[in-house]
Amino acid sequence: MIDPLPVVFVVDDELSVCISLKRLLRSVGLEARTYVSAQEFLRSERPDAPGCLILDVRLPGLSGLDLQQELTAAKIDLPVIFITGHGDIPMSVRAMKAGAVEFLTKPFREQDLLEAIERGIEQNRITRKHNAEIRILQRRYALLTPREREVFPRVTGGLPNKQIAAQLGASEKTIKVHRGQVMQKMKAESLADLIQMASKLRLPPN
Amino acid sequence: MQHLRALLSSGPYMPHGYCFLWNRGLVGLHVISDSLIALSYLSIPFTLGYFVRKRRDLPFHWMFLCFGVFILACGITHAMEVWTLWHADYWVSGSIKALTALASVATAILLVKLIPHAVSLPSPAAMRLEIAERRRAEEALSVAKMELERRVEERTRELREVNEELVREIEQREQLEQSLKDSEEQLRLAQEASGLGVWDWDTRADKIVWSAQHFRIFGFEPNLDTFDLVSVVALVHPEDRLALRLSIREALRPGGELETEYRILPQNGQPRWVMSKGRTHCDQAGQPFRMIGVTLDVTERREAEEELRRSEERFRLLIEGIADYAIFMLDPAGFVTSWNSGAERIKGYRAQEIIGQHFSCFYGDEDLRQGKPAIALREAAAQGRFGEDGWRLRKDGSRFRANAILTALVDQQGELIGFAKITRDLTESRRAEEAIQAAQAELARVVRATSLGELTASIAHEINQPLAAIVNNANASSRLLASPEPNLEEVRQAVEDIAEAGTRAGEIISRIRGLLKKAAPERNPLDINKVIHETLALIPGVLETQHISVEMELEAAPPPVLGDRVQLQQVLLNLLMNGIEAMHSILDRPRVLMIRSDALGSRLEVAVQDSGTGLDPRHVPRIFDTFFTTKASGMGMGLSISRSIIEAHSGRLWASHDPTAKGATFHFSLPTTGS
Repeated sequence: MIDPLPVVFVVDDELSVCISLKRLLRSVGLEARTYVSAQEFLRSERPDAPGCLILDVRLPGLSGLDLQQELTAAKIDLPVIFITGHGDIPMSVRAMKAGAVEFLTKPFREQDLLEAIERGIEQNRITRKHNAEIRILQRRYALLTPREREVFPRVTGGLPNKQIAAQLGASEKTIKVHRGQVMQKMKAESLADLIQMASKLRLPPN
Repeated sequence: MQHLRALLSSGPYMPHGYCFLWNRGLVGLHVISDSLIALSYLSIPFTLGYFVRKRRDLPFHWMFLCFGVFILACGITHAMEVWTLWHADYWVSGSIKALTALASVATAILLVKLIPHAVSLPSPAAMRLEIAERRRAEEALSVAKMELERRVEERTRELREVNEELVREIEQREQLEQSLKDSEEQLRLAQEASGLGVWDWDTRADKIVWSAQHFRIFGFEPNLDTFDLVSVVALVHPEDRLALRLSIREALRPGGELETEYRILPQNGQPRWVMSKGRTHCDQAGQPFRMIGVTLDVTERREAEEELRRSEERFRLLIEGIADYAIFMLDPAGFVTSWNSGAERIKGYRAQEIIGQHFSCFYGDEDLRQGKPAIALREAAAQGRFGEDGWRLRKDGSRFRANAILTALVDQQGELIGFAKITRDLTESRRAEEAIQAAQAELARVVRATSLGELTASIAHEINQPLAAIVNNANASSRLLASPEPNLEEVRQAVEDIAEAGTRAGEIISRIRGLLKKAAPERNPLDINKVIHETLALIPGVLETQHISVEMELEAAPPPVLGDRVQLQQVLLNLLMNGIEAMHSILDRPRVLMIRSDALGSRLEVAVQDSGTGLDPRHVPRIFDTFFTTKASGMGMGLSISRSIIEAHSGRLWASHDPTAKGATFHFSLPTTGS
């Protein structure tokens, strides 16, 4: 699967900052989309591509920090780089604690911004990959029968077939069949593979 | 049988004709005579029988029957005489004669016996007389009877009428009773609903009876107690007793009526206002014997009236007290009926001078020629409201530009009852607006200066925006130029934006400079104590919410200093706010700001001391440097600006730290005018 080209979102009520940032990002080959308010950004259609968000702290209406919280609450996974005309320490602490990639004070050094963007996009790329993997695993997991879902965590929890059979009140032979089905349906190549899948799916051990 | 046959046979006898020798004449005479007699005799009994049958009332009618039988028998003997002329049946004829004799003798005897009775029978004349008499009597009787019947009938009719009348009366009475009952019930309901209490005073016995509701009005449970006047008056508010007694005395006369309102003191309750109405009843001699009436609790009405009166009074005072607008009323024809203090002030007339005058006296000649007053009244009456700007005259004849609004006042029926007129002096309001604007501008300048920390933050924010754009554009340009085929148009755009952002940054800075100081700093002789008080007056809210007390030791009569009032206020405010912030974390001791002013020779020194965390001795040398700050959100500009202001006033600003005292002290000194 080839990832689409990354997109950088810019939310800043200062039009000159938006335009200059878009120009700067284009000069390094990055697509940028600019918005002058948090609301406009939330309402917009966003492409399904890796990216990050450059966010002004002081915005009319919903502030940058508020928007960061909104995104978290809406489970929109987009790394945030804060920029501000005048930032104080508590503000930056709050932003970083909430998971911001970087907190930059205007005017910022080009290098600092580009590095932060790079980190943000990479972080987002990993997250997206991880999420995509999990979605595939979830689809496979959905194919399992209820009995197989009982067997799965016991196998990955390291229980021998005999013990699983005893716990579930079935014959060892039946458990062996279930185990084979789980391996096949989850497309696991080995037990180690299956164990990794279980941890990615956050299955409770037993 | 033999004997009977013998009897019937003629025997050896010759018919009787022989005796006559069959002389035709003689025989004929006998035959005709006997036949006629026989026929007559035979007819008589039938006539008698008929008579008797018809006149059964006749006395002795058996006598007539006897005669009948005897005549019949005689008739038959005569018929036998004719028969025996040719038939010698003498036995038969003899037998019949014997029977006839028997009947005759019997009749004769009976007749003899009857005679005395027959003699005693009245004669027909007497009978006639009697009958006439009797008829008269009968007639009289029948007249009497008819009279009686008529009377009976009359009486019967009368009786029936009386009876019907009685029935009607009974019905009416029943109806009356029912309606009486109904109206009593209605009265009772009405009393309950209206809360009317009824009282009845027997004035001779001085006994007053109350209805249940009357008891309730006075705060009693209804009971059967009666009162005298004294005990009732005792329930009345002491201030109202005399008036009530006077009203009652006034009403105690023929045709007298009582109507009075007074306060009562109900059991366990607040005084209540009640209204009593009553009517006096007098005897023939004109002496009152009874007064009866009702009592109603009117507290709510009195309170509402009082509230209305107070509200009207308030409204009147409000209108009268408005000095900025001329508010007055006109009657429908345009004559002034009320006048407030604003009208007096704006127009120059006093109320007693202008009330009753026509409002056209406020108009100039030109307006009068155009009929403007009449137009205004007509338009307001038609539209409900009429407003215009125009020239008006004061009492002294001077003109002023006015805005006037005329509102039609109508009563509930929609009838025009007059106009309310509100006139505003526009020249005055224009002047006032200018003053307000100036004051607001001054205030804005002071308020902006009050929080230099906040101000500098916003300066930084504003300037950093164009700076960020400049840096971004410059970086983009250098990258674009470094590419093998530079997009020069894009670069040109970027450079243009850089120039624009740079210009903007410059504008922002000059705008801030404008905010911080007036274009030409003033140098006026100032009472520094007054400046201190003015500055404190800007921050009472902060002092209160932060629980900070202010102590002052001010020079009694400080020599004036030359300076810019607002700039010195800024400096003082900055020092005060720094002190307040320094005490923010102080919880274990009082938060006190101490302000001192001292005249020291040719200089005047002002000191602001706080009871806060104090100054770190290491920081003291740097605190007046621009951008040096120890505060989390500070910009490090307040003290540096303050110092430059003071130095511009040929003064000095410094800090001192007394290790024995808590907190920091900032001082500034200024030259006095004398030096």
